[in-house]
Amino acid sequence: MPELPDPILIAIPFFVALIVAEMIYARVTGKAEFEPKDTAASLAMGLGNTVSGVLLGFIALAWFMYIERFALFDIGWAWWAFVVCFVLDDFLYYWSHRFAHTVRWWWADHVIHHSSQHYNLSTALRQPWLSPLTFKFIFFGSWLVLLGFPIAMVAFVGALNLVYQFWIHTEAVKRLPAPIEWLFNTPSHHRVHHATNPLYLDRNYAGVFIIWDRMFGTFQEELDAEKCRYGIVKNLGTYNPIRICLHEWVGIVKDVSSAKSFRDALGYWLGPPGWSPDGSRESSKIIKARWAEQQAAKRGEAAPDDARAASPVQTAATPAE
Amino acid sequence: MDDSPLAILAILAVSALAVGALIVFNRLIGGWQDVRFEDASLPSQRLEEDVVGFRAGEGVIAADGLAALVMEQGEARLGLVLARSSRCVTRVVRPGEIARLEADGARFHIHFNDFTLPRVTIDLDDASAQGWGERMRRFVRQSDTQMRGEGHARAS
Repeated sequence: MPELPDPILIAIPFFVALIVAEMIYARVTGKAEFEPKDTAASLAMGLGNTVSGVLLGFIALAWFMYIERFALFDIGWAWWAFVVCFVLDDFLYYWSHRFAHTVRWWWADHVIHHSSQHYNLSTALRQPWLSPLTFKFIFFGSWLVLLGFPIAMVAFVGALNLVYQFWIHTEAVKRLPAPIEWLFNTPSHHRVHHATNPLYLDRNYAGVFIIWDRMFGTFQEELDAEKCRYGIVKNLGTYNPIRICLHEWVGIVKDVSSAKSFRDALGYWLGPPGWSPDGSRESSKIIKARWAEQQAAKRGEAAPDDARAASPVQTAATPAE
Repeated sequence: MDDSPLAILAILAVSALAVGALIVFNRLIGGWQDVRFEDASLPSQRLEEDVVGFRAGEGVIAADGLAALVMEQGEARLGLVLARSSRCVTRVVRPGEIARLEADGARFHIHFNDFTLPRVTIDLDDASAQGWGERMRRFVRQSDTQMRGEGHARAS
């Protein structure tokens, strides 16, 4: 087994240097923005994520070491295995990320990354603290190990994927040459992913290759006429890292404990974020449908069928919690 | 890589120092502008952007320009917009969705059942306070005790 470096550890000094460079660029050009309280919250979440990795990382590692004995093949360490592993890992990342947006249990973890209303390189480091406890790695991380890729290789390409995703969290890069924008996840594509404009909600889940979104119908190009508004549908009223970390978990506990039936409890736990038994809250699907109806009305057209179907309560409101 | 506990602690300590240095640098270099509301137009715009279907009606801003209340046209919902450094945080409530409202002259403490925004204090001018105080009271939740009491009374 070759001695593999830790790409994230190597990248950390570059992360810091690039954040400083973007801060200076933002100050000089006004084309990006950092605000100290937001930056502090994002970086505190990043630091906490590192600590939690040290404390909780063994959970996933223990699982992968257990299932390794059931691997179908022994793929080994050939150079092409790294390439195949990287591409397959990115494919799995797409689905893992998509489920992180559509299953509230996993969204409660991932929402932390989306909870800043700013979009700069510090936002890339705003990461959750409790990921191993969601057990998402069992559902999406096991496949490559079961195929026969070495655990260390899977961890290595996964880290490369994360390092790639750092630099795309910026407003400093507008658009790259068309072939790059076609194949890769870029700052433009990922700005769309972080935006709360109804047109942009739940789009562009890709890690490295944007082709997965193109293939599975979740791609949305950034439009000049639709400037990105960043954050989450109900933006946080706090910079407190503990509250940022726990807010959606607290919401789940409140909702599940007040559910009137087992089915409702299950919906609050594993349904899409914003799900409620009577449809009176706003899931992304409902927001998008209502927005589509509004746009159609503006143009004097009938609303699309899928919009009418997804918008069950026309007068539904955003609940206070 | 040395992954002894001491090495890990050293890495975390250096990371914490780097984080602190970045925050100080961000503060020193500046480049952001805090939001202050001059009138209700910006809060109204933010509510209409954030909440699909919200049509802003009459609004009032706090004396410090850091908060605003905006009624929806038709008065079905009440919008609240808070300036948070260079961004805004919005909430829209229906009747019964304010957990508690305390009035102290023209100062109002609005309590929400919201983990990231449990309480908001808003100072209105004397001329606006009474009217907006009454409007806000329409959105306050009846207490569980009171509702249970009413239930028992009806049952008996």
